[in-house]
Amino acid sequence: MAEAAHCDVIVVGTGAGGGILAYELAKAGLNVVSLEQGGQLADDHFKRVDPPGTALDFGIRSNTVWPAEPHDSLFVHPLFEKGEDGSTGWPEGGFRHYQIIKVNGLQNLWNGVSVRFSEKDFADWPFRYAELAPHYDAVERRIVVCGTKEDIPELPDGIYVPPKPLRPADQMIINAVNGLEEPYSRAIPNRKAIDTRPDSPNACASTGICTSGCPTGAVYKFTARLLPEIAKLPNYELRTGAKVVRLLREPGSRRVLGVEYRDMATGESRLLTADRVVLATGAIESPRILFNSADDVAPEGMGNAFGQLGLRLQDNPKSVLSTSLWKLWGSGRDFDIGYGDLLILLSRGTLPDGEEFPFIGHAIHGVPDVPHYLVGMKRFPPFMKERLSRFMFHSYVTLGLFCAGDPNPANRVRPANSYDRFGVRHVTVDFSSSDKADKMMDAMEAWGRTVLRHAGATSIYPSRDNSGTGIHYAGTTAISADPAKGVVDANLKCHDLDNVYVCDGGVVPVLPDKHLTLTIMAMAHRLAGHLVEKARSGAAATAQPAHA
Amino acid sequence: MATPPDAETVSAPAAPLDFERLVAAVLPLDHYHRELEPLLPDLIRIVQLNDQLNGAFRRIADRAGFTEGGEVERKHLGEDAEAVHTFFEYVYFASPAFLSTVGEWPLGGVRG
Repeated sequence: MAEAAHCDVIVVGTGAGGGILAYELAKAGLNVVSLEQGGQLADDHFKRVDPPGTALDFGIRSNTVWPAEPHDSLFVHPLFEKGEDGSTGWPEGGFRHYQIIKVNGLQNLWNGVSVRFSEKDFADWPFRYAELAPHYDAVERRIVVCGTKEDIPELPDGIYVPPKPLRPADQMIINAVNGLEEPYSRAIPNRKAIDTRPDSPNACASTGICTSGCPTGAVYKFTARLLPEIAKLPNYELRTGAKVVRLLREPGSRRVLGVEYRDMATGESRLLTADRVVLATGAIESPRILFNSADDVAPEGMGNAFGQLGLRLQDNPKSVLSTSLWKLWGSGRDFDIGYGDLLILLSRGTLPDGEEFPFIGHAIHGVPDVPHYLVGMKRFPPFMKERLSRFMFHSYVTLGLFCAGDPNPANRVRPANSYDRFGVRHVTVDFSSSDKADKMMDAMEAWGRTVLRHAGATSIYPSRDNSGTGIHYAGTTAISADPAKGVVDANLKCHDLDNVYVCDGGVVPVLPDKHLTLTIMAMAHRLAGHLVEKARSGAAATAQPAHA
Repeated sequence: MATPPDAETVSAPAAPLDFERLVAAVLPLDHYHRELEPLLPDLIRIVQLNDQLNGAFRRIADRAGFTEGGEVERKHLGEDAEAVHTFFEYVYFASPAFLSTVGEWPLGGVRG
């Protein structure tokens, strides 16, 4: 639609939550404007401009580091924002907030893992799993998820297309996990938002890795699947280069008029009004917008009447282990490499005090055309490196294991004393990893070592982190029926505002071990239904024309 | 009004550096130089685009007095030796020549 001055719903952000929400609202006939700080990558960006692997410049980018830390290689992608335009100033040694300021947000490099939270994971929520289950169904149908039904209570089944076939390395990991004879330890086909159907125009091309961007659009993202269906609707507009600075209150009320945003091209400040505003910009940027919306009525920030805004920032602590399986030495490849991580692993760890905790992970087996394996061969002379590299080329496996976040109120997002290049105040992140998180990472590493040894591991290269590299940020605008314990209510509406909603990882009150993206998308689907109902029932104060 | 900085404290703009000659001069110091010579244009481009390598090669040029016609010797790699050799080794093992030997060239096609 032509550029509107008013709409029914402003959706801020185009990532996991914002994409689903914009699609559902626009399809339902509401006048919707998506505001996105970044621009839109070309459709062939990951095919020609920046393809995955070594196809361009051997996979070397401006920020590739020598020598590299192999497990950090995921984080040197040029799309990740730092400081200048991002939410935080990226202080040295601080929490590492990964953010992509482009249409699709982090989903440009999404690995696609799409698992449902279980009944237990909703213990701190104002509704149960059954409430979200139909929305999980709807989203899985919409985005296409591959996987298998397994009837595991901790990992509810969904609606799947067939996964790619397992490879010899996967079978070795499955055998190793089964060999533990722990009923709670499982290795099953991964569940990923990947269209594996060979007759699909977006069919997976088996690049062996998803986290460098998908060249075919097989991994779900807004622009690859849903945006084309709504882009030309008269009631939908995607406005890029529009950085939302703050919400503007309707004087004397609990409502906002709309948002003030900065035109990234000109630096001009602009206003867009709406009946409702949804923030879907992530667990760090959404609190930033709310903090920066402070006014006389809410001097500590909108959504913060009860002092809960920004508290309990969580990410998944992780342990990562890489090895070469000797049983695969000398083998060639006569199988489909698929999307790299074809297995989900589930197990439980035990802390020194006897407390048990669940964890989840994936087993990754790709084509190491980017030769990270050289780190493990440092001590060998060149002639041996060359022989070993050939002999071991198809033998590498990495386990990435994740446990639950730590809902510690001291880990939080708060207004900073620094500003971005547009003069918009940053937020800063106070975050420290707890002893418990360290012990959980210990336990996950021990389990991973056991599995890999059973599978035929040689030397194991471990790393661990709990400083933001899980990229599963949660907790800062928590959902709670009690305003004193959260920022949004069961309908994701801010407790102290009548027409502002949050729909991103920030609303997850306690981050379980599981990847949260599918749950964000299911919440977006549920919220869309709620907003459509509100609009149709005339609960909106006034319905205004779409165009000024 | 801002005070103009003292002229002596202003660092001079980086002198133009002949990366083509420089990378060609450094490459023979590496174990993989024979295999990498056909890839010299790629190496030159990457050295300029990568922040760390760009800085490392500039420092090597300074140590060697390269812009004044100096020769690059192993000692001039100094603290940047590890980065430079790691880079050359990486490119060798990511090169078409090596990947062909393990059945993974050409890239970009379906690996199904």
